[in-house]
Amino acid sequence: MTPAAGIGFKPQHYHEALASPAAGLWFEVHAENYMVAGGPRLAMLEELRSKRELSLHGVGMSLAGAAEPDLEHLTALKRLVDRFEPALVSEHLAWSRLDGRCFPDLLPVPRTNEVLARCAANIGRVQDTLCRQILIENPTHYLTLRDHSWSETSFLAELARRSGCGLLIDVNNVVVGAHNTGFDACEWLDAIPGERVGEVHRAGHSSDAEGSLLIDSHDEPVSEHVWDLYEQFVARIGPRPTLIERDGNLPAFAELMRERAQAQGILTGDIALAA
Amino acid sequence: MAVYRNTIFHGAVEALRANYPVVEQILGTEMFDHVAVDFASTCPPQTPVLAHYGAEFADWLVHQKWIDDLPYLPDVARVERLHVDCLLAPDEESLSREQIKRIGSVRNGTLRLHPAMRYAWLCTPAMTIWLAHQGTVPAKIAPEWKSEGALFARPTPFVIHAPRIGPAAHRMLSGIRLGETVSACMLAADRLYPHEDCTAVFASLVNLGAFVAPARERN
Repeated sequence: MTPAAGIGFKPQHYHEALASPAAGLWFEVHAENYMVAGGPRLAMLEELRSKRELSLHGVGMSLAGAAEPDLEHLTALKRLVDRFEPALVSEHLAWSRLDGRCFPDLLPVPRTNEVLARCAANIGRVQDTLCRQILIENPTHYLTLRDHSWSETSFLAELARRSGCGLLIDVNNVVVGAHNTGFDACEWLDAIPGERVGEVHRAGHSSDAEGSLLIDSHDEPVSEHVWDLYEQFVARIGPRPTLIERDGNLPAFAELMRERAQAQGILTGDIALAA
Repeated sequence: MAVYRNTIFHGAVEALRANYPVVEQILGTEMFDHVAVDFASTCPPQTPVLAHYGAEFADWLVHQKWIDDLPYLPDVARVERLHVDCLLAPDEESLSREQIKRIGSVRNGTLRLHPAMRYAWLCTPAMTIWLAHQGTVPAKIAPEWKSEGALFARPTPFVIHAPRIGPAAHRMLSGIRLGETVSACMLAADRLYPHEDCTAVFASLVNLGAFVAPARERN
């Protein structure tokens, strides 16, 4: 995939997405939303794929969980990958399953040697099944766990080295985590090995009711701060496929495309990069 | 920690909202949110694929203390479930009128129900209520308080039919599901419901895409 900008696909935008003439436009979907037997969802994705590159973004593999990836879930992902041949496949450094119960969230893990080995092995199982590399996304943080023995950036770099996975860097998650748990977002991004990065996410965030926490809510336009950090990041590592994520307060397709055009301008050098 | 707890509920609540939009319209958003959190606490997701979430919702509603004020609501939820199941089911080409002509003596043969077709008989006018909520503004209705059938058929991925059905159609579909021949189904339906035109009812089920051809007749 050429390093162009894409947007998260929403069924409400189906006809505009199909008709868009934008060069290099690609679409990302949550893999779990398409793990169904048939019907309009899969038919829409089929039509979209006939015109555009796709990225499958998983939210339920629980790679940092205590158990190996669920075989049924992995088989469903393999079926999607084989059918749609996406340009990118990604998942999260998080867990969401425990003792047969599923939590529709991306829960944090302590970055220990044990968790590193377990994550690397789980990523290896997924990549072996899919016969391809996957990208792993940095999670959002809302609290500081006490038991970390690795920094997040060195953990991600080592995870990529051991498993052969690539990295999906969500700049908004970095900004939200930096605010909530007190680290420096610029330093964090500077410590990421650029050659491992296969995709970048950018989204909007909001404040919680008390105003003390930032929430990775995906319901606002991308913030100025995230734009600035993104420009600096791309200036250092070079252009990468970049997604505009929006889930809540879904705006018109044209508005998302305006944000997408801004990212595309940065990627192609039409908009001056930060010094 | 509260953020994680809220996010876990948020995912389940939004999945339930997506699958039960008419229940939400009837309850109002605020009450639906409370009901959905209660439901998610009792029946948390068992899989990360939330498209199917909430299969037990109608049965759970039956046991809520406040349901006596809305006795039709569990049936409306059952109708919404039929709709969701129809939308997510496998695709297959449905039996066409041309195929029936080719088959000739279809009356003496058996058919299969289309894999995306869902139907049920309900003790309340829940399908009438569901249909009235499909416009941008709910239609004003005064449904007759009697039982009725609901059918969802999806002959192609993007075409969905959602009619009310009568007892003869329900009897025919149930017979075909159990492997009766078309003629046996029609005879039984005709005896039970002589006021209905069973030939016309069968033709309308074919037109809706309720059946697929017998294996030997495909291609």
